[in-house]
Amino acid sequence: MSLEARDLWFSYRPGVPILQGLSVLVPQGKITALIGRNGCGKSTLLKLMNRLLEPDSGGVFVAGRDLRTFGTKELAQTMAHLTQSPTAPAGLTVKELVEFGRHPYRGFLGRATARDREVVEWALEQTALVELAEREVETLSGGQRQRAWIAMALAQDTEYLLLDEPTTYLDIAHQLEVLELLGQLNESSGKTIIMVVHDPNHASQYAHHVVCLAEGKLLREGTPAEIFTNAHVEELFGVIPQIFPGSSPEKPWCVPLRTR
Amino acid sequence: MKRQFVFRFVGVLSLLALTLVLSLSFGATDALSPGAVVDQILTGQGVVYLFRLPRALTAMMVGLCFAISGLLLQSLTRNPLASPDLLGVTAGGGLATVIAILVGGALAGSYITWIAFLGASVVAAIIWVLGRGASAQRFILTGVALSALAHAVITLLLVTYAPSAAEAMIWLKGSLFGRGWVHVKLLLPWVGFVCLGGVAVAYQANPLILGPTVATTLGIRLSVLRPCLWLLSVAGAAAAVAVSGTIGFVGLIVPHVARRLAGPDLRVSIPFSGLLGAFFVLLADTVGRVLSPPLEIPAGLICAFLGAPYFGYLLVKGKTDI
Repeated sequence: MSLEARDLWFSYRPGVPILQGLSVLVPQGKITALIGRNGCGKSTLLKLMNRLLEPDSGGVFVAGRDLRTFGTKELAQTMAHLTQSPTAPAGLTVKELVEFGRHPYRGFLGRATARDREVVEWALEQTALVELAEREVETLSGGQRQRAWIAMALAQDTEYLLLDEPTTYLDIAHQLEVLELLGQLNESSGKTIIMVVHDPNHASQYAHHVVCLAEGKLLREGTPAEIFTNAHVEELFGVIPQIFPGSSPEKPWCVPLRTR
Repeated sequence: MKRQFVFRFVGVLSLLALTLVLSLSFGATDALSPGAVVDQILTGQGVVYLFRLPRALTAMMVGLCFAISGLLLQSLTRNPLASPDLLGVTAGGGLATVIAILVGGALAGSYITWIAFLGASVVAAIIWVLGRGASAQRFILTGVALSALAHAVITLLLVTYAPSAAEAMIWLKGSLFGRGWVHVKLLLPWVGFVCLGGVAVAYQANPLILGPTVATTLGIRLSVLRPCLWLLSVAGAAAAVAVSGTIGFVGLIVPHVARRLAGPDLRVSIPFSGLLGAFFVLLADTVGRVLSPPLEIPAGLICAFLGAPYFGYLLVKGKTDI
């Protein structure tokens, strides 16, 4: 299945378009990073891709099929979406949260099947949360909490995993922990991951494909090596960077030195 | 259902049964033995069958309706302070009734339940139209504003028409005095609707605690679920208000207790909330009847007296999500 946005136009207020004729083809089974300045439309694109917003014109297509023709449950079985800093209510345990991921698969009254229990267990294992399953989400550290939400998304058993700034509010160790987890998931299950990130190095080190947006349009897309050059980073973010080759030429490091 | 919930459920059920026995045994006349109570119910005669049993059933059904209504509203708005009182649904019923009593006088008597129901529904519809599609906060604020407006108009009417206001005043305080089999019959279909509807939406409404966006990504169709929840909670509150007047606090406190006993799963907390609501109002009515006969203290007042300290307790214990 392929995921493609075709000629997307979108505005929150009439006459102020956020996305202006954006077309993106998401590579299958890879990690794609959406980057760009504040307000460039990357989170909006992510929401349109999961039908949390309706485009003014154009459309999103999964395997050539318009997203508008998907049933709500069918869509929830195709794509999981981790929203920006979600909050769990007091008293909810990790396992209860992860079980919500099975919601789209359950019947009217929500009887759990053996398959449901199996997938929840698997999701807890993948995110190393088995020991913490009965803990309340509220009592976890930021990194553990984010893993719990990722586990919920995993329990949805989808081909696509969309994440909106998954490392926000986390300290650097927890940021890397989350990104490494995403890398493992992509490698072990071939899940197609699309994430909005702010740190250019998160894109260069963990994504296979980088999509750069500017003012609601596609500025350019390509591999991290193609995107993270002095000229491109300066154009995209308006900063003077220094690019280091790092351990592999495929994954350059990018240090923003100062504003232009 | 987990074992601890089963124990608690049985516990609440026993409390309800015990209160029912007390309610049937004690009253303005001498206390009756359990044997006499059963005898009167079976033969369909005497004070128990004619007065106490229908009144107890009405109290239980009113409590159940208010409690489930409050729980569904709190789930809909994701706000633990939401209740039919706060959102103006009960005030709407109260306003319509006060107008009817003051304008129609004795004529209004037989139609009062329907008038109250109509008033509550009209206010509910206005809130839905004004607050629709907006955030939960705006929805609640719309309700609070309408509630305040309705209360202001009620007070104005009561002050203006002071001589005939006594009857309206009693109704507004929420009382079960003189409720009989006719009220049981009137409530029964609504109790059925609220209970069956509650069970039907319970699982679908569960993801709402994670917020509307996450619920949508989990395949919940908010455009269908939200009106269903609103309809059920308004139907419950309107039916209860129509029969008992504005008994406050039940729709606010009972769902709170139910969530603490039953956890976040609505499939468990809805039955808990219903039973606890039934217990709470029945207890309030029974206490109000036996405290200082022949004078009766309205159930609504007792509920407020019992309810307010509960919040104090929560504050002192520091155990609250409010």
